[in-house]
Order: sequence, then C-alpha cells, then structure tokens
Amino acid sequence: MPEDYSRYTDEQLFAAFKQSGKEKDAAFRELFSRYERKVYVFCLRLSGNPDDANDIFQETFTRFYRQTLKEDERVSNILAYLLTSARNVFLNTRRNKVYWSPFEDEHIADHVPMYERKELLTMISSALELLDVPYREAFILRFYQGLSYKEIAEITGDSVSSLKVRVMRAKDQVRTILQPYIADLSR
Amino acid sequence: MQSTELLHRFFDEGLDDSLEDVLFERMAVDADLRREFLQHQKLHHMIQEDVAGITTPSHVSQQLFIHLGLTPPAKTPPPPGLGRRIGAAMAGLGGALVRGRRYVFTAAISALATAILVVGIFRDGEPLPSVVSDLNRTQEFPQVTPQQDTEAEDGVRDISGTAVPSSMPSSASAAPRDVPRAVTAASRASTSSRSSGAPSSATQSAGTTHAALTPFAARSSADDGDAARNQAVMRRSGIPAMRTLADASRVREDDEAHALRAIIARATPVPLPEASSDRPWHFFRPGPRTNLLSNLVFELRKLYGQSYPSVDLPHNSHTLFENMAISTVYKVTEHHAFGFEYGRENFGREFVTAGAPAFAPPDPSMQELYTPPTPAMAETVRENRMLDVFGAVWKLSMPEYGMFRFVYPYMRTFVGASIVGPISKVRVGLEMYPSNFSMLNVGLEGGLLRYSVDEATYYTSKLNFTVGVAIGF
Repeated sequence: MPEDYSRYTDEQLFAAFKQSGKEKDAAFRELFSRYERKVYVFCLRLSGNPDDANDIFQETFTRFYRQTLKEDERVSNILAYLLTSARNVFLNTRRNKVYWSPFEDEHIADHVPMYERKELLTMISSALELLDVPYREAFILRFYQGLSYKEIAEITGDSVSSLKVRVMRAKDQVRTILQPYIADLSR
Repeated sequence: MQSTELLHRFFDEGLDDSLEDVLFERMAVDADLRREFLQHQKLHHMIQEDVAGITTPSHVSQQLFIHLGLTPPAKTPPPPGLGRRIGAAMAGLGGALVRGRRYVFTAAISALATAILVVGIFRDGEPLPSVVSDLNRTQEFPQVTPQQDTEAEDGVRDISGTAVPSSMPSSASAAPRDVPRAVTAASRASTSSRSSGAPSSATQSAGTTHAALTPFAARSSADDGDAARNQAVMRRSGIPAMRTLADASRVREDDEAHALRAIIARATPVPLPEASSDRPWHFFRPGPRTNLLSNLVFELRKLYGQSYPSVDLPHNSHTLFENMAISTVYKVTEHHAFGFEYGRENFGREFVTAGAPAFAPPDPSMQELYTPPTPAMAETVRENRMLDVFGAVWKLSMPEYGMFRFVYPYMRTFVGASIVGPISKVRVGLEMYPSNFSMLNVGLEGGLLRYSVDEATYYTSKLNFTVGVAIGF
C-alpha cells in the first residue's frame, strides 16, 4: 500500500526525500504539490515577467531535486528553503539582464481614465518592478507569501528590524505609485 | 506613536485593542488618515486578488517533470459544476445568516409583531378604539335624509325649507348628483357599518367616492354648471346659499374636507384608481393625506441628537450614512401604518470592564516601538460608536387633527436591535404633504439602548430631532 505523504510534516517529508528510488520520487511529488504555487507566485512577482518566472521556477525545483544532500542534513521549513533557492537563482540571472518597466513617472497623470480591474492588477506587478530588489523581495515575501519576519530573515539573511522598515517603505512606494489607480478602483 | 506607523502595523501585524482604539479615534478626526486607511485596505485587496489569480502554468510543471525523468503530474481537476457552486453559495449564505443572527431574529420578530397587529386591527366586529372614534366623528357632519337629497337635486327647496327654483340644467345633473350622493352614501354607509361591523357597504362606495374626488379637483369656478352644483351641495350641507363666485372655492374646499372625513370614517385606505399609471405626479400641490399616489412609502431621515450619558468622543465612523435611517412603511388604514427601518446612529456608552491582559510584543526588536504594557485592572470605558440599528415600525397618524389641509400630527414607535443590544424609540411630530407623491416630516424622538458588559446591564437614552422626506410610488 503506497505511503500517504500528505500527512507528513516538512521535516519527515525531507527525510523521505533524502532516500532514493520511488520513495524520493513520491516525496518530491508531495512536496511539489504543496509548494509549487507559492514558489511560482514568488518567481513571477520577483522577476516581473512570465518567461523569466518559468525559468526560475524550473531551475529552483531542478536544483532541489538534483542536489546532493548530506545524511545528517535536515530542513524543517521546505518553503523557506525553496524560496531561498529561487531568490538565489533570480539574483544570478538578473546580473546578466536589463529589466524594463512600463511605468515612468510622467505616465502617472492627474487625470486617470477608467481602467479595467485586470489592468489594475497588472499594474501592481509593474509597480513592484520599480522597487529595488531588497524592498521588492521583502514586500513579496511578507504580503504575497505571508511569511513571518523571522522566516523572511532566514531567507534574505537580514535582521528582523531592518526587514520591517524595508517592508513599510516598500509598501509606501507601491501605494504612492498606485495611488491614482487605487482611487479609480474605488469608483 | 505616529499615525502612519499605527496604520502600517494595523495592516501588517495587527494592533492590540488599546492601540486600535487610538488609531480609530485619530481617524475619526483626520480625513487624510482615513483616506490613507482606505488606500492600505484597497492595496491589500488588490494583493489578495493578485495572488488568487496566479496559477502555475501546466506546461511548466509538465516540462519540469519530464526534464527530471519523472511521470508528469495529473492535470488539474475541472472547476466545480453548477451544483457544487450553488452548494458553496448556499453555505456562504448560511454562514452570513449565522454571523448576522441578531438581525435575522429581529427581522423575524418584527415581521411577526407586524402581522399580529395587522390581523388584530381587522378582527370582525371589534374595531380598535381609534377606529370607533373615527366612526363617531361622522355625527359632527350634517346627515342628509333621502327626501332632502332628492328635493335639493330637483331644486325644490333648500335646506331651510325655502322654495328655490332649479338652476341646474338636466344634462349636467348626472355628474354633480353622483358626487354629493356618493359623499352622502359614504356617511350613511359608515353609519351602517358602525352598527353591523361590516365594511363591505363602505367598500362599495369607496370607488365611487374616490372617483368623486377627481371632479372636485378638476372643477373650474368659471363654469356655470359648477356654480349650480356648488349651490346644490351647499343647500344639502346646510351652508347658506352662494351669492358670489368667490364663495365657490370655499365651498369646494369644504366639500373636499367633507369627503376626506367620510374616507377616514371608513377606516380603510383610499383605493388607487384602476388606471393609476395615468395619474400624474404633481410636484407642488399641497393636499390631504389621501392625495398620495401609493400606500407604500419609503422614507429617509436625518437625526440630530444627544446621548445620556454624554460621551464627548468622536464616533469611529468614516462613511456617509451617519445618524440617518431609511424605512419602508405600508399604510394599512388612515391611522395605522407598519414597516421596517434600518439606520446608523451613535450612542454614547460608559461601562466598567476588566482591562486587557499585559501585552507582550511578538519580537524583542519591536520593544522600542511599544509603550510599556500596563497590568490588567478594572477600567471605565467610554465609547461613542456608530451602531447599525434595525427593527419594526408602527406609525399612528391623526388626520382628523390636520392643519392647513396638508399638515398632520403623528406618532411613531420603533422596536429593534443593534449589535450591542436592543433599542426602542418613540417619536412625535408633524408631517406635511407638499405634493401628491412626497411627504416631509419633522419630529422629536426619544430612544433607549440596553446593553450588557461583563454581566452588568447598562442603559443609554437618547434625544433626537429628526427631519425626513418620504416618497410614495
């Protein structure tokens, strides 16, 4: 009778993943089904475009599956582990690319036409691209992933207090960018 | 702590009750802070919608598993069918009803009370005292015997018995005869209904009498036929013979008042004419209560008041609908109307409660941003919150005490509930009918809120001055 990995904790799942053969594959499938969407959201909003997000997403899970793990290595929070890996992949690929954002300051006019809701949600993605990477990743990890500041600190390597300031400033910047569109959304 | 910082923490990690109160109190007096709050709220909604709308493309997952040498995962299941979606919607509705059960119970009890009152008024053979008094008032008006009626129509004699030549052309006799006869028939019918308790005979004359109102309104004093009809009516009513055309308008007003009293005596609302859609809306045409196009009335009113205990705190509301109420009322008789009302009104409250437990910041790094926690202790809490209020309405009108033909006194009671406890109110005032589809009212209202905190019961009384506008469709 196949093992029911859906009841496993992250630590148990990682321990099963360290095995070889069918047990590893089954643990990987369970792990993928649990966290694939959250990782994809992070990749998409961090990179700002679907193509890069697809590449980062696939690279993250490929590295995770093929890594050589030590026997005594343990992971209690697989999501943080995956997001850290995705962040590193993004930073590595970003060095070689020039990112363009559709937003320019002069486009934020006083008189704003009526936008469709879908367009406004696209704008939040574009607004995030205007943020520096440290602010953007802190904002995404806090409000998109719902991670605690301690978990975010484990991923980024920063202190909790600096992360809180960073999240607050990132939110203020996004709110300022989207201010005329948020007002339009309320009509 | 600065307001913007409080706002950020409210949406980020949450605030304890004391800091939350501070934030809402500041928002109550700072429009810019309220605007900022709404922006934060909308931004979080946008983020939630954004997250909900993102899914991993299936081809990306497929490619990943193939690249790893694994069997790709099964495709995502199709969205739930119509049946499951309806079930989910019903479950959501059930959850909303459970959360708002206080209002659901209030609405159900109000509807039951309304039904009992409506049934009680129309119990056979036992009209309410106010209805009986209406019937008795018909004794004040002159009762015309059939012989007098016939003689007056023929122009034989006036009411004093003096022979008067007939000045009414025969062709014009049909319409004017119907009008005063209908009025007389209504008064006779009300007398018979008082004795038999049966409203059927009054109902028969209802349509005729109501139709009779129209000729009154449409008549022109320049018409010779009108003058003759007026003279016949005056004779039957015991009014001295008309000498000049200037008396015609006064006679017309008296006739309308007479017809109105007859309608009131029947203790049923004026039935709408068959072709009610043809009846025009008159935007400025002060008239009696029966002039309204409909018995169903929608009212909007504004309250200006003071609570006792008086809590001098700004109320934590940031919407337009403050100290206002909307209601729907159905006129069952010319005296009684029933309906429902929803409103938002602030009530000052002062009570004693055990203080919040000592607060520990979740993260030592945030210690510098917090004021030191205080130990738990009993404290007096003062609030001036805007409460949603819903309940049943009973309105007692007194058309027999009307002034200037379009101003009438009324009394109104309200029984309902708010999220903190039950509320009852009584209002007295004046209502005016400037047109045949609208009504204005002013009134003085006293209310009482009952609430409990930590097993202790408290009361807040409130005195309001209200101004309202109503429309009957």
